[in-house]
Amino acid sequence: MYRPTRRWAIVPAVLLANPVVLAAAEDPPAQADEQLDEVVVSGTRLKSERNPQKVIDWMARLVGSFTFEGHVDLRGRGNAADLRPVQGTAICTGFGPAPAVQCELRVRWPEARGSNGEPIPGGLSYFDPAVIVYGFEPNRIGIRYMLVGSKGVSTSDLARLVGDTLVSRKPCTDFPGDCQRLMRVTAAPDLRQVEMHIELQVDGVKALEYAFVMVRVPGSPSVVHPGRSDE
Amino acid sequence: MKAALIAPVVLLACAALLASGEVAAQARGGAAKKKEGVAVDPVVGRIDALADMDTWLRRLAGRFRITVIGQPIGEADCVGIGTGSGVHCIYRFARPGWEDRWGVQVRMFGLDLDAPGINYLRLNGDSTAEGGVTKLRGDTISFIGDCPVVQPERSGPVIVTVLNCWQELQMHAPRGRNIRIRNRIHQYQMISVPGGRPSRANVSFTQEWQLERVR
Repeated sequence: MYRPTRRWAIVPAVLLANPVVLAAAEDPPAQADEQLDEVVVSGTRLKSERNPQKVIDWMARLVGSFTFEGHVDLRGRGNAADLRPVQGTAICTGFGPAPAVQCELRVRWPEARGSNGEPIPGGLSYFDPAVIVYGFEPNRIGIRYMLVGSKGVSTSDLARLVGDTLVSRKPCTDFPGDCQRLMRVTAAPDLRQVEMHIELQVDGVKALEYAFVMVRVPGSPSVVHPGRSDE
Repeated sequence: MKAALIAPVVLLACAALLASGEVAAQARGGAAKKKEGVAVDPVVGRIDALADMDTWLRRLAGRFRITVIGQPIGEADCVGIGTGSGVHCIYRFARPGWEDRWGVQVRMFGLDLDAPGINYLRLNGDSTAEGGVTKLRGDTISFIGDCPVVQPERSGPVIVTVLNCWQELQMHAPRGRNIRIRNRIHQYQMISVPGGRPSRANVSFTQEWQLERVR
């Protein structure tokens, strides 16, 4: 059973970082109720996981070493000419009792540019290297992730687990119009692979797609702690 | 990974756009906003802000000694990710009594082109995560958000349950100097004692420490 180890609540003030100011506080601000129990996936509303242990068990599936397969679709239309096959590796390590997970990614694909040699969205890999971390969000029973690419640009969100898939949807500014970024990370209990799908939509139409499949390196289990098998 | 796609374009364009900023601002005419009597083009202002954030983020890389009033309590290793300004840090708290509460932490920082701002995420030793988009003002980023509510803790007969927790984080990183971190935490607690009625209290405390650059 998950049990956080921090003990802020009862640690005497004098043992906390100095200087410590212990004071009666003003009332905490009303927290925005972001308890989105439902997630829209492909137009269907699905219930997100509310059982903390199941969320934690899912995170453990991400631990291990992986090779990358899949493609980048530069226009999101499925045209063969726009598909760029990807290759690369990921090393994902567990962190803490849950575990949280941090992955170092190195993913590349053949460079693509516009007709005048200008950069185009998705034309160059910013996953070489990139780091993505996942941590448990106990207040809202979700997974907070952050992805930082090789050029310093990052995305972050509180994502929800729906079945075996972590789901995040955020507005974006990559394209004019109603730009939405959808991320789905699917890790099934069989531990064989992790699918990472990032899709940029403009006015509801797919404009760019990263479809990665992380295939577990043989002999690379998801076990985080000696003697503890998470599946 | 949307933002990553336009980031280099935006950042590489910074110098040229900044150089022609005044011209651009004039060309935009009514779109330019007045700020302290000076016309600031919104596009140029955004690029300027991103350049400032990029510069600030790069100050975080390095190895640091974590101190509280001059007393070392741990070390921080922060490395840049790729050629950009994103930073990945590992904090290790070595002082007895700190491991339980803090242990090893991971902290990540990166540009958020959508906000725009600086994304911050902290993984705690207990696998919980907290963070969000911070705003840079001068040499300081600030962030207000909730913090993980831990399970009830017992201290002798007293059980303290944190019902709500929020925090104000400030990270001050001036060029060429030590980094100061100030975290003010506010908790709404329920305190239970055997045979008594539970009481509730607002409690705030501040944690401050420095990162002294080792290299």
